[in-house]
Amino acid sequence: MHTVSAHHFSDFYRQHHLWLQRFIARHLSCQHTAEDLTQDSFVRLMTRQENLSLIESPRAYLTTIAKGLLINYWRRQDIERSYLEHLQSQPEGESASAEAHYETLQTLFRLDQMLRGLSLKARQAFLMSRLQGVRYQDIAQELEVSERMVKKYIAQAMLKCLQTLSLDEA
Amino acid sequence: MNDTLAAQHEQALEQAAYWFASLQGEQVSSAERKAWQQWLAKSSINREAWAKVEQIDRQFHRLPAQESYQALSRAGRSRRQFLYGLAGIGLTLPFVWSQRETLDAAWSSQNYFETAVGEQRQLALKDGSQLWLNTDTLVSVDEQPNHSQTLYLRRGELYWEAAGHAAPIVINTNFGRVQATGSAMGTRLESDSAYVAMTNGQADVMPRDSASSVRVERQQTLHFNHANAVLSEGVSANVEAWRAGFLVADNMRLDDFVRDLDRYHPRGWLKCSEAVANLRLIGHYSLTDTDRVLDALTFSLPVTVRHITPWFTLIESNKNISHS
Repeated sequence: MHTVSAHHFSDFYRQHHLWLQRFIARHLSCQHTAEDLTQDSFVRLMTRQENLSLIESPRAYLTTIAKGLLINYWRRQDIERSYLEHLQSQPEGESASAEAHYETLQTLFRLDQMLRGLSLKARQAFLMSRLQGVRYQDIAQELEVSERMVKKYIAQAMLKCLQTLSLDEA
Repeated sequence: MNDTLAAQHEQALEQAAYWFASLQGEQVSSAERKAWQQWLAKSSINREAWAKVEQIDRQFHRLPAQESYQALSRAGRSRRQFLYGLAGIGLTLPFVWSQRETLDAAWSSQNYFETAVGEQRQLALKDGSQLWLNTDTLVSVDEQPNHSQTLYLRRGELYWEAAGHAAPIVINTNFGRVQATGSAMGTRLESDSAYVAMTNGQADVMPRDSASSVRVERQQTLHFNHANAVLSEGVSANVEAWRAGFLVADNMRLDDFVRDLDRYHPRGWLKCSEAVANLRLIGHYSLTDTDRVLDALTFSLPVTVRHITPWFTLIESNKNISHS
């Protein structure tokens, strides 16, 4: 395993961080977030402990990392926006604390991460069952699949969660 | 963690996921519940796996249901186009819209035909062409006069053969539209894609979000999803072997075979363990009794068939001594 030498890394950083930040900023409206994501890209590069001199095309490599982070960021934005919109549309009543909202969002981010890579229908089936308590036969009708398929979707989704959880613990 | 132990943990996770899906269903028999308890009692690895299932499930219970459902089912939709590049979006949207409209208009006058798991069915369409439906299939047939024959494949697999005169047909799927003339062809929907295999004649396939179509010639197969299409030479024997009630394995990987056989298995889910996935199989297998096919496998390959739950059957290595 190679470790990144500090000297080499700072050269690399100087050489690439400006254009990368510009690349990221093109896809974002917030300059501050663009700076954060640029930093995150380099941190991710560093923790992968690659030998920087082995990277044939640094631009393509960094762009790939940055795209992954951008997609992550947008997913989180989507989740947060949608969650807050829905909250606002609810009649006032028992209002949860700011910490509780924060906790909920963290859980949502984690679950989204776990369910990533599932087919859209499997994801939908799992969410309908877990969050809305919809019966298998009704999910089957809604998604135009057999009830047996719904059961498979639920098992696939749970397995995906279990595997992600095990990876995190490893 | 050594390899066998890792494999045992992985297997326990799989089984825990299946048990979870099974116990969440509406009809859980007391026998099933008992089998689950026996599974739990069997090993600490199983109990650990089940504890993780509960840990995950608890996270859902703590969430506000409606807000969370909205948030999680919409996640990632707003910027998905970033992945595919931004060019062309302005061009494709109007097309998609117009296609939707025609589909909606046609839905009102349709007949539905459905097959159960393990069932095959043959129909004659009004233009004289023949339609076969494979296992677990749902098709609607548009009966509007003065239109070329139009089908909507909603689930499963079909085979279509034109009558003597070369009448055209349109087969719609969620992933796109297939237009064929004077042909014999098979089409199957899978969870994230579909394919068209041309025994005879030719077809044009238009993926749903694409602005152009792809030509499929005789003895070619096209796999496509809503955006992309991949053309390959040749047509698998299994595109039509099922009409005669057979599944053909021509040096087929065991996991592919089991995945295919599973579609015909009326009692639950067949799965092939990783350890034997690479074994190869040759032969014709009758689809009328999938349990007999499973028996036959244990004679020709070093595998055993284990019924883990009433609806989940695992094909695994018979050298696997530890059944935790």
